[in-house]
Amino acid sequence: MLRAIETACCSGVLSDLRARNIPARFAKYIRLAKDTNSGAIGAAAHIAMMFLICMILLIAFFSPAQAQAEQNGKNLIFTAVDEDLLQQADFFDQALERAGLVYTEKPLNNYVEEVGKSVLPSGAPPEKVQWRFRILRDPLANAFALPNGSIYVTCGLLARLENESQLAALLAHESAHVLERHMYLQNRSVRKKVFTINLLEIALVWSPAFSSIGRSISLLANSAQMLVVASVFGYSRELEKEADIHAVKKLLDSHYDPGEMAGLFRLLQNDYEAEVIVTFYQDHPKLQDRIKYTNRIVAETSNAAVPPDTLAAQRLRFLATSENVVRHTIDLEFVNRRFRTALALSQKLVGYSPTSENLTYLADSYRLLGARPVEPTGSELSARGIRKSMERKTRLTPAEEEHWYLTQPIGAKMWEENQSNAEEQYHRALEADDKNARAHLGLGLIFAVARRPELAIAEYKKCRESDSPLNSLVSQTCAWQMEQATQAAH
Amino acid sequence: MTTRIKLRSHLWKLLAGILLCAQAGYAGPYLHPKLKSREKVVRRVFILRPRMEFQKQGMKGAESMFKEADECGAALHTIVSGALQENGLDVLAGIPAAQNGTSEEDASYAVADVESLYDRIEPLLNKKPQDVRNGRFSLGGDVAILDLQSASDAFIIIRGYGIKLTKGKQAYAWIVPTANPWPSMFVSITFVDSRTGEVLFFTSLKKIGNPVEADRLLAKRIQKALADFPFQASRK
Repeated sequence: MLRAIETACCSGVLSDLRARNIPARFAKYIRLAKDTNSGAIGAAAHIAMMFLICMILLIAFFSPAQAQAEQNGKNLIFTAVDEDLLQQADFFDQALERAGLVYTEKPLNNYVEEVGKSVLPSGAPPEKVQWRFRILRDPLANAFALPNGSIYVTCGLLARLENESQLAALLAHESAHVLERHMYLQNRSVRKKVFTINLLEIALVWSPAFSSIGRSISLLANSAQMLVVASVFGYSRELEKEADIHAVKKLLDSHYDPGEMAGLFRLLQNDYEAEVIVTFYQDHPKLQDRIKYTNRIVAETSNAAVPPDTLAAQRLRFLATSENVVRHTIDLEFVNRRFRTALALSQKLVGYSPTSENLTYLADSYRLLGARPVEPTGSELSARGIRKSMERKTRLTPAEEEHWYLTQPIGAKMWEENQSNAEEQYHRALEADDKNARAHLGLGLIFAVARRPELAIAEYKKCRESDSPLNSLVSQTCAWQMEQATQAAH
Repeated sequence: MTTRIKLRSHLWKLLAGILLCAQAGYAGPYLHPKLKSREKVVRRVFILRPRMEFQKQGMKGAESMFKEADECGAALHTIVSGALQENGLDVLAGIPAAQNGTSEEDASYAVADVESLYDRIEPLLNKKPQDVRNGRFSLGGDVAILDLQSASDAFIIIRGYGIKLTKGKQAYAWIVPTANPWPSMFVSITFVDSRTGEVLFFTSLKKIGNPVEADRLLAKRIQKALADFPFQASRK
């Protein structure tokens, strides 16, 4: 009886398919399904499964009503998922503080908060938002906003900025993410899509037609997780554009230069370390596109330009207030072995404030650059070069990496040049202040490596006699280096 | 895939799980030549705050577990500290940098910077821990910022990573042949010379089971992992 039903179903299905002129490969799949021990019922189940998959995909990805509702973040109704995300954000704030990653310098913190508040909308903050502007001890140029109102700007990005308008543009952009509830929307979208993919995988594994078709769709489901994330990046691209437009409009309404929004994007394009690989899916719109559309908005809006005096005063205030954080960032670049970036920041620092301390940072940057060229070479900047550089970091210790640079064709020459530049800058620093302990230490290290122990010992002695406190790292390092140099001399 | 093949794949998964549980012990330990030859003797240590990263994987994606990570870190600190003190090492309370006049902020920055130095070599350590025996790994002399008064001989870095699965995700992992259904935790313990930054001792261990629980079994494994440290020299 069952066999009769099976045969009837199968022949009915097949003749129906032929009548509808289904493409040949689909008919081949049906034959495959028939050939497995699933038989005719397997073929029908297969078609039903494909239909179910298409419906799930349509609902998950292309529901217009849902997309429309989610576009409007301002009318967001909080769910348990959103509360959970908010709690995660609070924990993240505390974790960053405990890990010593939040930079505290009262004048700078007050300044950033003042600029941030000037680009916020007037009135009370939105529900479940408490505005906090914080600086993160991270040398990478980045900024992000948490849904609870915490806006973080890294030291690395602050050190690269050139004026107050760029800082205002950045903070306006990040505050837009909080105001429009972008993080909640993105979180919901990702969760829905990951869940859908997981469901698809389960359905496919136990599908009676899980032969070659099921396997290929399963592979798609496995790789589609990445595509899902990528499509979320596409969603994120729209959100970034929304935030950019909000920021430009905010700048136009304020006493800042809106053209500096494009200036900010140009800064993000600088890559001193050749470590950015441009992938097909990016989290932010291409920087060139961002420059174009923000410039277009500025050009289309006829506003009175900000007086040059005001802009000049803002710039000076910004540079004066951010000098300490630039030095702090250079120290972080040293710790993270990003010496080219350290050099670029030091050059910028000395450009507007050539004090003894800043000249020492420039000298340290040259010294620690070792055998590296000052700027990445053409081959280093290629995608292959960048990958090779990342591979070296995963294979070689810092000491081995230094040795690798020294063994390159231009290694020895670059080493000589960099050490010579470092020595010159140390002398300049000591001309400005000969009690500069760090400069004496740096000079001593150069002489020690150049196998001139007497000169090295002389510099270490001056370091110990200078104004550095005895319990500082500089003094302790001096003492230890003197010990080593004395042993080497004997 | 036929039903027989699917069932067979789950049998392999079960077998793999049993093998994993059997292997879930510790790797190493690996000693620096100076430590082995007693050229360097460690008597006083301090422990940096353990850094634990746990992830809860569910059907709707992954989430961090900050609170559980903190609790587990505190428990691990107690276990390691207890194991070292039982064997005669002097474990200093807190970080010396925070006690000798340095501001709390500067001390926390110093710890964060030393953790960054360790981040650079951590992948290499986990990939080729046997190279500790060649004295290959060092964080550099800048670690001295943590203890400028030389109150200690070494400091200890504890790192942990764990994955916890929700019930839904565990069920999913059992159904889908290619997914891993076993929650796990990986812990590494590294001793670093307080003055020179050289990695003196490294051991790691893996636990299959609830990753956020620092239970008695984990405590025993840690004691076993630290058993080969040259405690006898430190007692002299």
